[in-house]
Amino acid sequence: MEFKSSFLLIEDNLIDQLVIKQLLKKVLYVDPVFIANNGKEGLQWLIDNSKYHKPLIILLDIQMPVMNGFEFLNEYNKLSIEFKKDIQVYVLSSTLDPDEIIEINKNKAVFKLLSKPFPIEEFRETFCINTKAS
Amino acid sequence: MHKLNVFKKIRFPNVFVLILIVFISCALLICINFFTIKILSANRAYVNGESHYSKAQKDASRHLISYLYTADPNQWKLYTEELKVPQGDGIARKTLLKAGDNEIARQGFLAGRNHKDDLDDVIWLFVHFKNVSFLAKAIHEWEQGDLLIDQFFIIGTQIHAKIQHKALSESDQKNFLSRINKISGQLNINERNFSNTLGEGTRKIKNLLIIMNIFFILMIVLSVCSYYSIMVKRLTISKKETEVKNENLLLANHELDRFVYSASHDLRSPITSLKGLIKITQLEDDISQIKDYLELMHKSLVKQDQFISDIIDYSKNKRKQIVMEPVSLKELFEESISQLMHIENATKITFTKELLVDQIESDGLRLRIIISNLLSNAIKYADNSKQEMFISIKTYFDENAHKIEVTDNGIGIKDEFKDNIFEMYFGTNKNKGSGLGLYIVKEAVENIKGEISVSSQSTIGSKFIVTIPTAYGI
Repeated sequence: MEFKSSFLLIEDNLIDQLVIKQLLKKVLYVDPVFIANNGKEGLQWLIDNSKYHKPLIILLDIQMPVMNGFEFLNEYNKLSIEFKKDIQVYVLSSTLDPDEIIEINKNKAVFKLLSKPFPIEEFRETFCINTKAS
Repeated sequence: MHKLNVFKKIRFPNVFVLILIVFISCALLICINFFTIKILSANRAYVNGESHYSKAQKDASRHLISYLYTADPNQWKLYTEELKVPQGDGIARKTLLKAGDNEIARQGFLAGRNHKDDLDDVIWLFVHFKNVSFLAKAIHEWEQGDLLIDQFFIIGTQIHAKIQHKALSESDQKNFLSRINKISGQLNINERNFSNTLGEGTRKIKNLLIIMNIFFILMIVLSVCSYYSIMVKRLTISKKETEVKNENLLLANHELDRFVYSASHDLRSPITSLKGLIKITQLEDDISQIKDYLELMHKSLVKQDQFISDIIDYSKNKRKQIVMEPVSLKELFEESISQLMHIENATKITFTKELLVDQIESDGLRLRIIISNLLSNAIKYADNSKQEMFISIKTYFDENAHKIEVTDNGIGIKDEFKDNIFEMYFGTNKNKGSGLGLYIVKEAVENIKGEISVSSQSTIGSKFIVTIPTAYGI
């Protein structure tokens, strides 16, 4: 199967960037994957490019310098509904802090919380069910 | 806090003083009551003795008068018997005045029909208080009485002699009678004065006793009250202290929780990276690509190793006592540089050293943490795009303090981040550091009561200056 969606990866860790990019490429044949090194870059990319790349899936890390995942989500929630149409946010984090997990799940912009390392099979399944249902 | 300490120092003696006051008051109260009761009892005995004295004297004069008119030898016998009572008292008084307490005085009092159980009190009062005004007055009256008794005795002897020789005329009888009546009248006055004086003294003592009792009881009540109020105050203070401590403890626990979660996240992230790398390695067939992945795995592990040693430094810095010892800055720098050479690009950097100060007195562990972290930052954030990368180390003495300067021409710090670089977990690039390094440096510098300052320009380079006080600990 082929993905029609584009992918934006917001992640500061270079190794994780490489790993996620390779997994998407090898398992789901997604290429290219757009990469932003922190929330601020991600937001800028959205404003500049999102309209050309819909539907869009965002993979968002939480702990990042400059603008972290939570700050990104706050800014993202302020954007118009029209702008956010056909955009899905997956949070990708290795956190074990229960407070943080609750905060992520509470955020209405977050479609699903995935824990690192990027669980590609789980992601594919939820994605398929989701696309079939819609 | 300082005020509280002063209060603590004062309040301990306070309580002891109060307890002492209560104790002394009680002891005094017991003593005063004991002696007052003794005095009052002795006074009662004296009044009692006086009544025997005066009754016997009156009986004696009655018998003498009968004898004067009837010449009945029986009356004479009764007279001499009754007269022994005031005479015994007189002997006791004279003996006590001259020799103090002895058997003769006691015999005298017994002859005076005093009860033998009263003797101790009676003699004690006489011996110790004979100069006190009311008793001295009473003794004076007693002495006057005794003198009259002597005269009375002489008259009795004269009457007895006349009757024995049958030379008693009617005029003699009249003459004797008037003399007896005169002496009796005077004795009456003396006896009344004696009783009145003692009674007056007794009343005075009683009033004094009441006042003393009230005074000491008030003292005790007040002391106990203030003791309790101090104890209650102390309890409230210690309760408040405990509450504050509890709150601090809760806060500390919460901070510890946050630290554990943050640390576990940072410890986990290289592992999850590693897991991801293994996954993509499994999907890869190209051997050179696999080798690249292995290199990344190695990096990931190095990063985790670095993080663990940062945490260890953090904990050592927090827990270990400051130990002042001679430290060689030169050795510390050389040691740190050789340990940091494994970092990427480290070998391409030129190190220059200008050490005007080498041996100093300070804490070796903290200095090692400071120097190692500053140098590793300078190496990690070197600017690869520059032709020549350098790190320059200087030590010198200035403004009564040792200074360490680490300067580099690396990527520098953006102005917006300068305020945050010393915060815990702050980092602009978590691929390079844990976000703990400069935080630990700052804590270490504060531990040795030093200072750290930074001047930096983005893309040009950074300079960190550490000030180590020479006279630390004053």
